Amino acid sequence: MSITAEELDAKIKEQLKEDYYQTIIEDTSNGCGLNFECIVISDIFKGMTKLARARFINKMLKDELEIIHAFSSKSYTIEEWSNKRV
Amino acid sequence: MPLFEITSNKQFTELSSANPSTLKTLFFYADWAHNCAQAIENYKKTSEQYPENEFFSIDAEANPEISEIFDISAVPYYIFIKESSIIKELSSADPQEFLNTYKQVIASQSASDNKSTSKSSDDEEEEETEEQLNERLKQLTAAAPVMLFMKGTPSEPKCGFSRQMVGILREHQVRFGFFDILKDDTVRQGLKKFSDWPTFPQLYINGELVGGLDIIKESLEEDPEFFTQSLAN
Repeated sequence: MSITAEELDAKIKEQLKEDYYQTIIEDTSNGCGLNFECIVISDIFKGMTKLARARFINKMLKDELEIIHAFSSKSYTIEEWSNKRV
Repeated sequence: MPLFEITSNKQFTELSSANPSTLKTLFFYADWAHNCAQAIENYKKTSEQYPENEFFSIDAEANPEISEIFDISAVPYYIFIKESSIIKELSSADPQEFLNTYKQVIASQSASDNKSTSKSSDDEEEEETEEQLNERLKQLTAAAPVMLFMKGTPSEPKCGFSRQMVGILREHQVRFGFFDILKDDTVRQGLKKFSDWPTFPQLYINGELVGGLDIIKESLEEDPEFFTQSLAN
């Protein structure tokens, strides 16, 4: 069983609802669907520590993470993300 | 023979070559690692339980030459010697693991000594309750100011993420204790729940989960003094 980046994005969108801003999800497995790098941008992260943010993402993708072998995530608020891109 | 503290190379050479047929244990520790205090207490108790065997303790940093002979890169570290050869090595911050290993070593030795009617004694292992496990995890995660729960050991990581984490810690000259979760599935599964964190490596500073590789890398990008800062808090 494999998972696609689109599925992960859909799952995040479904749970963040109006807080969903953008995700950048990259399948780094060369197609086996078990390695992902994931960036989630949402203001829901405001005031959260890195640990809390990562736990939040892990929770949203709980079922998927049981199958995914390697997963790395980064999270930004909209402001942090725009500063990062400047 | 009671527990003996080795303080010089000369002493070490004399003592380690005397009575070759006796099972000897070397225990390497460091003053700065407070997980060692607990381990040494436990080690002393074991030495009293087995007065027929020899027990030595060595301050790994005060005796760099001895540490180098055995390539000690982490403490506490145990080496079991008989007939001038190393029969087993153990790197663990968990006193219970030492005791279990010690019993195994003795069992395997007596088995090879009389080769006949030895009965295995593995039915004495007790099930750990969830409470006991959580208590053990609490102690383990706080066993050193910086504790790394990883796959494999620092000298032989069994996963790329664990390897990178060890690299980062070394690069920043952070002293750390570690636990090889591949050796203990109870800890491996228990810790995921205990810390609400699904993956390894996991890095703990002063008993608190700081994060996995991503968080540590990111924190260091933002603040190169991240480790110094966190340890001071």
